[in-house]
Amino acid sequence: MVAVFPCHPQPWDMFMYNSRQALLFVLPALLLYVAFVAVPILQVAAYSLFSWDNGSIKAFSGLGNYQRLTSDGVFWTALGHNAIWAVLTLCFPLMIGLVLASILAERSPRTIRLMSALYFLPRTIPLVVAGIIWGWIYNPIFGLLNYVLDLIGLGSLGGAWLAESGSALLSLNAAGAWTFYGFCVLIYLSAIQSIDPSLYEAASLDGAGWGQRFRFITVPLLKSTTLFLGLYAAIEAMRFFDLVWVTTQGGPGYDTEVLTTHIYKTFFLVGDFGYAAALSVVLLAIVLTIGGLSYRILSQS
Amino acid sequence: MATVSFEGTRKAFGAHEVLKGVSLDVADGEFVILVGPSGCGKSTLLRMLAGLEQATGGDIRIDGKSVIGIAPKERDIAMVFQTYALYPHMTVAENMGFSLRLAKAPKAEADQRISAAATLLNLDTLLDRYPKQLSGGQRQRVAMGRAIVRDPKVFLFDEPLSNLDAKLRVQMRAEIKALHQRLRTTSIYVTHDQVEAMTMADRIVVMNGGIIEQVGTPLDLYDSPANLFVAGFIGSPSMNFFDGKLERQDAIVMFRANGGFALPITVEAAGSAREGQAVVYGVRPEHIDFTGSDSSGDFAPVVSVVEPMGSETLILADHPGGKMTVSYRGRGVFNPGDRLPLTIDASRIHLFDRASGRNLRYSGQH
Ligand SMILES: Nc1ncnc2c1ncn2[C@@H]1O[C@H](COP(=O)(O)OP(=O)(O)OP(=O)(O)O)[C@@H](O)[C@H]1O
Ligand SMILES: [Mg+2]
Repeated sequence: MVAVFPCHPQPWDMFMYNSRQALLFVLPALLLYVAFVAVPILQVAAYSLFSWDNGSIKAFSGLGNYQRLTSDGVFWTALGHNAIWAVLTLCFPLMIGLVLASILAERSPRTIRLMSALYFLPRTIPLVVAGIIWGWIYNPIFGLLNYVLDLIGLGSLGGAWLAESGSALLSLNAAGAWTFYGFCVLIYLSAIQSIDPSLYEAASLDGAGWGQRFRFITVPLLKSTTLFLGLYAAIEAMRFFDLVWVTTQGGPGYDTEVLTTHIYKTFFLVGDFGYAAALSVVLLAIVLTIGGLSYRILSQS
Repeated sequence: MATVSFEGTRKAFGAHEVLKGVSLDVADGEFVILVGPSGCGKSTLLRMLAGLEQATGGDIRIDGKSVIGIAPKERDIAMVFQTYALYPHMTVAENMGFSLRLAKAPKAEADQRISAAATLLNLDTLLDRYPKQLSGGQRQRVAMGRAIVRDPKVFLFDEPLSNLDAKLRVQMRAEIKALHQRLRTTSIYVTHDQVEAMTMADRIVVMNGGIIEQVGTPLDLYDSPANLFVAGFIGSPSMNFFDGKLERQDAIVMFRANGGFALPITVEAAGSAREGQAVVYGVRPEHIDFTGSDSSGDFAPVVSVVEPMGSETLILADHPGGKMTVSYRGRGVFNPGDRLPLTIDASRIHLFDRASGRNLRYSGQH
């Protein structure tokens, strides 16, 4: 140190010294990142500029693959399904999570530990396994759901949940909600527990009942948590795959098709590498946009 | 406006009994201050009245009606918390108007009440700010404003000034007192601060270990402490205590300290005490005078520390049985090591039974 700065180090020297040193520390991670993330992404982006035939490049096509998007009905259907999925996730698991967390927060520490573990359990099950479980539940012949509906005399409501075009996406989304709400409960719970309890006491003295405390204290004070979960859910809704693939693979028809299944099929089944790459780039752009947005919003609040 | 009474009120957290039967009547419009060492149950008592804790025994009445089992929001009580508990996502005006909004008060009336309270508390220019944009004193005022706007039956304060600096505390103390003189709302106020208790209270309740030791006006407690605990707790600097026993000398009963010296007493102070009884002799630092002369028989401790306070001088001194404090109204020249010949105003002293701690002056009255 003394050798490097014989007199008082200037701020700029110090900065250069520090940032050079910092660079040295992050270099290994940076190299790995470039090799395994940046390069493949650039590769995919490059592939999307060519037309392919059976796994080999045929010709440079510029933005031709992107032009095809506009006339690809399946792409727009899939995108719509992703959007519906995002909205449903924002509505149900988030709200259920918020309400359950506020109820749970007032229980004893033991109940809180036990119940939050229970709620979180579905989240720990691999999505593939969750898909298989829900495939069974929804099975029209020996599935649990139809059986229960029969038991309570609502057998006429039963059906082939994942095979009928009216119910397939919603049924899948219910399964998705089951895997996600516990995460929301946990995140909300820890946020609620960090709210000063005397705010609730002051509110009850001010005349607020449970519902009013929830509405006027809990909900507004959890705004940034909701924002975080919402953006997280939106990104998840764009990139989820496993659940659909092990249950419906996008069917019936295109009723549960989402971007990832469309990409998968285009790549592996059709072998249209160029178009699959273009779809991937679009998906990446959407996710990055949401990510960037969330970073902006969350760092502001 | 309301009366409040606790009748044998008890509170236990599990097996830990925090309040062991507290009985207290607060008159309509009275300003009562609860004092006592940390953990004696002051906050618990307040929170039980507010309905934030459930009593495990006895009764609590507001205006004669039992409030046991009644939800906080039905009790019409406002509380100023030590941490103020302002809603961080609401402006000052919204904080103050929250209760009115919940009660669905007409907008015009709500605005009028908010601005009246704001004027009273000098908050007019701050109505649009958020709590985090306020200073400690301003937050404190908003917390008071939130209580005032409601015009509740009872105000509760749990150490509302303890987060303020000394100067602001003195100012707010005066403001709260003035406010009470204006509004005359029954108030119960918890504090650690001697001076707050003495200057603000109509009556002071001294609590210790979950029971009430004594209730009285500030001067009552100062002049006639019921027991050793109250005597030591009220008054600053604290009363001096000497251990010893009563002794007869030529038909005169006097106090003989364990340190060997004798101190004068009065018949009234001794009450029903018997000769030879083990007692504690108490005298306040301000009730001790200096004798000019120094004859060897006098009570003369040795100065150890001198604390000039400006208007008075506090002298910490050693005597054969321990340490004591003397307050001298003026600026004498005292040096550590000096002998300090003292006379004690026997009419102001207290004698306490060593075993029970009770003030012997009043022990005959039961
Ligand atoms: N929720 C609770 N659970 C268990 N014990 C409690 C609870 N609240 C208070 N206590 C206990 O009750 C006793 C009295 O507490 P309280 O807060 O009333 O004291 P306090 O007189 O207000 O003290 P301080 O002057 O420090 O505020 C303490 O021993 C405390 O540990
Ligand atoms: Mg307290």
